[in-house]
Amino acid sequence: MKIPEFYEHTTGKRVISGVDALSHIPYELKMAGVTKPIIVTDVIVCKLPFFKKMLESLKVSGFADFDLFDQIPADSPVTIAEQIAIQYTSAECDGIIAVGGGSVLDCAKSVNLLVSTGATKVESVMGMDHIPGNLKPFIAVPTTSGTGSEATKVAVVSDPIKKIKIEIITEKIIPTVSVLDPEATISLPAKVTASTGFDALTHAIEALYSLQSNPLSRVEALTAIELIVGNIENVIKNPKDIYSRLALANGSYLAGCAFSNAMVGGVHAIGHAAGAVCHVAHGDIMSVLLPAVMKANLIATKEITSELLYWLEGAEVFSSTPVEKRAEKAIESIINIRKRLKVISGLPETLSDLKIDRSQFEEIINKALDDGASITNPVSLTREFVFKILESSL
Amino acid sequence: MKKLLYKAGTVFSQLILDIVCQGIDAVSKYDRVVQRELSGFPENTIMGFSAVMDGKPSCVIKKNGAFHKVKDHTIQPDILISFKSLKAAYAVLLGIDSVKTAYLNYRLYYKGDLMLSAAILRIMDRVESYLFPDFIMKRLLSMKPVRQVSKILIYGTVISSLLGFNKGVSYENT
Repeated sequence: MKIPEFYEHTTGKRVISGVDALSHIPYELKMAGVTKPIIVTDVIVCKLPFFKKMLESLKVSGFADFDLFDQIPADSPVTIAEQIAIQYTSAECDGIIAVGGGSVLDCAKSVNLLVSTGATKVESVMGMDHIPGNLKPFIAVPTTSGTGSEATKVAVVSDPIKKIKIEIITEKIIPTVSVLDPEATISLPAKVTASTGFDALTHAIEALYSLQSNPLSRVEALTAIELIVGNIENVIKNPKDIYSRLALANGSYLAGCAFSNAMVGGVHAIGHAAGAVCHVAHGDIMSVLLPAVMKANLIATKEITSELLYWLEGAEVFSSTPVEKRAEKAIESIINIRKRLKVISGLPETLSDLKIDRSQFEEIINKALDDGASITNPVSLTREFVFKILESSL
Repeated sequence: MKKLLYKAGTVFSQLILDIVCQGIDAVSKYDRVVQRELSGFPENTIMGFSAVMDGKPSCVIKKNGAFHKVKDHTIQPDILISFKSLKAAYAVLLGIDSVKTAYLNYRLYYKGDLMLSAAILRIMDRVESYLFPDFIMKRLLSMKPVRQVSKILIYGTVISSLLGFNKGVSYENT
């Protein structure tokens, strides 16, 4: 592989992965010097047995005085982050525990930026690589295996008043500790597991051939692909399979590490746009667009897509496929995974499955071209490029 | 001595960035693609470029569909693009790297709304296609933008601004 002329790479500070990893949180808090954490989550997670168990373990370990905010809605509005920051300061907290999906973790990252920098508005801390100093200790417990937010230096929050998304990219917001406990994802429904799992797979594949890909992010991406592809179907068929849940959580974490550094590409650029225009689930639109974007990118990614076949299908299929056909076969493999996931979980395959039609294309194209993810796609995103992908995904 | 050279390099780079801002001003007056990109920017958005992190930025302001060079260097721009090192600044200002390459290689520090970053990089591609000679531009940009006006017109506008015929807007007047 070609080494980039110049690159930066930051990985998560600490990962605790395994059964009962949640029970280590009090130890991690002590080691980080936290005496009073604020726990942020949403209304669904706070009712789950693992969450209640986690609170109990905090109480008996000397952290009974914790503060709790359990009302984070989807899309992490800045107003909520600002409200939590005020609560954090007035309750004199000194660390954050975020338990939830991408919205909760991204919201917690914004809270950490606010309480650590003294800023009162999230808008004032947006940007890339721009935050000096260190932030407060931050423990992330992901409850889905998809967004990878527990590993990334990216946070996206929404401003519902201005109707805009605010993006922050800085290594400072990477959680101090990420806790991957299979119990935290065990109650995830099959469809959500498939959809978020496909999102993680898309992170890994896009990071693999992104313009910002580097040797370290490639290792993370390839391991992530192996873990996700090797376990996603089993998790859906056997939702209580702890090993597969853990493997999927690790895959999602590694995919997060990969795209946190290499960023994503066309699937996300078009997917973000389609999500904003048509209000479809993020993982669902990833599943629809991934093969089409991979095909359209082949002009620049043939070599790495060929290598991908090994990680998707194993050594036997890889070695028995002629070199010039490996890239196409890798894409075919992704399509087959999606087909099987559709059968067992209802994962969508086409834009029509998501009730997206041609009348929405113009708006999707306009938004996709302005999406930050378009910058790192290996082929420049043009109106024609995006249109072709949308047409072929109908 | 090294400190002095660094200081001189910073001043030199900032002077070039001032010229780049004049270039952005000129190109946005004539190039419809840039004007279309600018339609997505909130009115009065100030975009600044600084050679080093703590430097005083050279700025342009979006007003009435175009960018206008801002006279003073003391204002806080809404979007600040700064180089992480002076060497990274030289590479872009001397046409060794494009702004997009610097961005992709993490050579830049960006403060402000990242949702505008894709449009800014496309604008900078076009500005570079007017300001740099063709042989440099071919190396810098993967896709050659189709220029809508003559480079001479842009050079003329930039030179007349530098000679004082277009002093730029002052922040107070915005």
